[in-house]
Amino acid sequence: MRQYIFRRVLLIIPTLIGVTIVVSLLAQLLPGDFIDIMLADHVAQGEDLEAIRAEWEEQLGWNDPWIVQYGNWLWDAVRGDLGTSLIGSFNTVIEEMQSRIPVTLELGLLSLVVGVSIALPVGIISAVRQDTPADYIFRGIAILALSVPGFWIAVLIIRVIFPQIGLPPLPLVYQDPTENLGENLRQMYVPAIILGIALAGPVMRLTRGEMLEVLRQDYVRTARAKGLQENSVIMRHAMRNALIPVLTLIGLSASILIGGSVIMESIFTLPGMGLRMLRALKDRDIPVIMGIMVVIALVVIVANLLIDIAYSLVDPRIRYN
Amino acid sequence: MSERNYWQRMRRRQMSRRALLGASARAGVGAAGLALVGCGDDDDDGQQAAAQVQAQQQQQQQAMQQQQQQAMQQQAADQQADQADQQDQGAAQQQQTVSQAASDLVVGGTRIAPFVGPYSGDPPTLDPYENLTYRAQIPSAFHYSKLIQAVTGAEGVDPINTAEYEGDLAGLPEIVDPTTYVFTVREGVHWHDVEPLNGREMTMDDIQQTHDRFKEISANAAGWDNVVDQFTIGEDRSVTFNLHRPHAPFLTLAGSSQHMWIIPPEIVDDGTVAERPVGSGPWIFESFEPGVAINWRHNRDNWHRNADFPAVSQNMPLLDGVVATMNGDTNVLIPALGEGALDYSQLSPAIYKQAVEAAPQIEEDGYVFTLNTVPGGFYFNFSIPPWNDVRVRQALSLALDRDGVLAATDDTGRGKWHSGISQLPPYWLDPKDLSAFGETFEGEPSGSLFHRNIAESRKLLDAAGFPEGISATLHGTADYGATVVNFYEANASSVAEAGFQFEFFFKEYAAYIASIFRGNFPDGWDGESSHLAIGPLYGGATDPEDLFAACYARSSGRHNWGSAGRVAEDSVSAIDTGGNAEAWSHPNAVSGGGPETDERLHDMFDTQKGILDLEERIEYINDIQRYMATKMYLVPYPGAPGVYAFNPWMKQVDVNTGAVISNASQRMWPKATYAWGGASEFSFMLDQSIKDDYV
Repeated sequence: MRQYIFRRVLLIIPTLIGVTIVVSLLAQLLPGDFIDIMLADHVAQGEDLEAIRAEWEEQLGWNDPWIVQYGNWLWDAVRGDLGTSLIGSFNTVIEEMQSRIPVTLELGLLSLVVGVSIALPVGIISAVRQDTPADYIFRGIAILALSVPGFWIAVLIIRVIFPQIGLPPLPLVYQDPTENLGENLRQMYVPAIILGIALAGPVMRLTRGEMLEVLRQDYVRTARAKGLQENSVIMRHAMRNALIPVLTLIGLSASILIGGSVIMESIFTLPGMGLRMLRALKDRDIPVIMGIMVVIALVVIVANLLIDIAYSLVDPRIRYN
Repeated sequence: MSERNYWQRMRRRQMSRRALLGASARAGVGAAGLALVGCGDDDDDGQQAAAQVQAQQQQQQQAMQQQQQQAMQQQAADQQADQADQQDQGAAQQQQTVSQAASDLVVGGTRIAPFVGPYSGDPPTLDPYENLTYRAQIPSAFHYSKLIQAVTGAEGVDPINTAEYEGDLAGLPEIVDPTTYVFTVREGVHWHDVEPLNGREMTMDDIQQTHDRFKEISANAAGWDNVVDQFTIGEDRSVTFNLHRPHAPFLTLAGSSQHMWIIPPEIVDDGTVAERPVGSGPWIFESFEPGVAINWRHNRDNWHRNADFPAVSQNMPLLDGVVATMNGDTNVLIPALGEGALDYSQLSPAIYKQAVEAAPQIEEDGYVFTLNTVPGGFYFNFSIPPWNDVRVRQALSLALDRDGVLAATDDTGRGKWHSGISQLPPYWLDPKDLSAFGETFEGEPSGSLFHRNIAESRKLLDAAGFPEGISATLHGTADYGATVVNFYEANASSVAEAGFQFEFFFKEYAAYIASIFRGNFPDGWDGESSHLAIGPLYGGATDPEDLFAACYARSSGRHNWGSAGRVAEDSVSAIDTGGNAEAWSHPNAVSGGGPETDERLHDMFDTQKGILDLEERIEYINDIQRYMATKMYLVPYPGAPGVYAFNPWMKQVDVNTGAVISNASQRMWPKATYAWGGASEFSFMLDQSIKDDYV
């Protein structure tokens, strides 16, 4: 097991390098760059724009071939320097990440809690009560959760539901949970529910499907024949086996949650990585884009590693060699 | 009593009773606010100089009032005579109320409003010299100061005000002669009491270093140099500007947001000027979180004082802080405004009705409408046929249904038609009013080209060799938001009837600015399809000279025909005409057919700068607009007004200053103020008790 984990951890390194190479190459293909943005309002009478651009490109090292630029970035990154934001806050990327990761992480975890809390019981009930009205309703809800985009639900909640039921407005200014947990949760709960619902849809459907399959297995029939209570059959024998593919899906959802956070953080003004990513893309702030992509890749890789490890805990038959 | 109050008394006498009361209603307790804030802080050295300036400015004020009153006509028309009587009583009561309010004021509270309403977005830098975007300039008004600033009063009845200035770090200048302006910098000004300045006193050397840095790095330095010959710091705290020649809008230049924010050298030296500004203004910068907000706290050591109300003004600004949120999503702004999470917001005209529904607590007088001073329309690279042919551009203008576009996109119903200088008061000549604009100018079609005439448009296209119409790719950016895209689409749709078939191609802002905005289209003319663009050309103009210099001057790097559009006359024949040499051979098509080679245009631009008599200058600039109309280098689209919504607890909002008139997202930043709530854009008083009750 340790060897397996060690190998997987080692694999993170080439995976991350691969991700950064792809992102760096794609960034080269983006039309326009941050100098264009800066020069857009910098141009005026008599300005020699090409000279300014040449000077800035020289300062930024953009005159070097891509491989040299990437190599320099990688060398700095290995030494813990992911660069500095080119525009706006001018913080180092590490500083940016330090303040932003906790926000996205909090939103992601809350969404995960919401999603799993909805999906698992509903999926199980739906499977146990297959083809009953409850099953139909839950399946319909799951399809809705899968098909309705999160941003639409967000707008619906903000523009229609909140005013209709007279709930107090959501704060527009982010509160750190260590300073004011109540206010922080008041800002977080709506986006967390929306992201959670989006996550719950596929997890619920998969849980139901897996449960249905497991419930038809011989060992479940045997358990029932031995006189075990139905709850015990479902929770101890059926559910643990059904959860393995569900865990995989939850692991993969880390990227979905981060992707969704871009939209939710934008709508609800949450200063997380998603919002920063959006701004960085618009500003062509390459160091920030690279930094955030590294973090996202790392989160997804680690999440999947943790899920793989969790397999062995859920199913004792699984052994990693 | 300062000279400024003299101006205000003069203006007040000049204003019609109807407009006065209409504005009073908007401003709440406006009248006493005039006394309270209007006395200002100018310890005006050189009152003689101020009187000279005022004489010029008074003319401008009068002209502005006339146009503003026109713009507000619809609003004023709603004021019935019987309401006027009530307002008379109300105004008297309000004066008393404010006198009482001065003693009842409570220090505290935080103003929360979006940075620039739906146009909010992160500043690329907080160094105003590094980037001219409004997003970099507006924050400066909170924490920096200038030598002079545009007047912000709380009277609530001022008409547009871009030409009325008051002292900031200095008093109004002594105008020794038309080319010599002498400012005297006040003593005892301190930088904010934060690192690395720690409240040290501002010195004349700080101003010198600011000037040197401005000249070194600001994109506006070249334009400044064209006007200012010498800048001299004297031992008597004087700052002298010697101009190359008389320059009519010099005070506008000196008070502009785009010149000479006084910045301490320490933050330049330590490299924090772009990220952590420290100034001498009424607000102390606290933090900027990209995508979220900029935060300021009050500067209670602020040297801005109101001499008439020392007990109150020593605590100015009264608010504890200001939060400018960066979320420009209208789906967030509108409910937040309605629910009271925002104190006020700029809106786009297309969402005005939504706001009215979502925020019933904001009554009609809580909305403010302003003229639109952002010039824009269809623009061209004149090296690409068929836009080098003036007849085609004229046909495009004739095809444009300006009223139809406004009806489709402007919820407020208050939109106006842009001339070549947008709706910049008091110089704007409304092309809809042909009796003033004139159908022709020197025998050429002029004002008539703004009025839709499909038959005439087709005739011109036919004469230009395009009887079947013209297909083209219409470039732009969608990054100004969905309502702007809808507006573009309405414009493009309206010209289709005359035979202009446009296919949109939107780019991201950065890519757009890098290419299309500078006239660099992906391809030229292939004989069948062409390229043109649509969008705004310039934001933040306070004088037509700003537009002429930036958008049309040959030396400008900003004009929109781009390097590819700079076509020398003798190189025209070398351009690939894509088989349509006929289009090029027409006399109208020589030299790219653009403003680059239009000597008349540039002579007119040059002349207007030196006309010191306001009325004469307005007349001359009117002629420039008429001449520009004949050429249609820019085919102006119509302009919906700026809209602002104020929640009921925003009192004494100074709604009519130049901060708001025209597009305030551009104009607000010259208005660094010290007044009640003291923001950059308005002066106001925030009634926390009403807000608390509501929220």
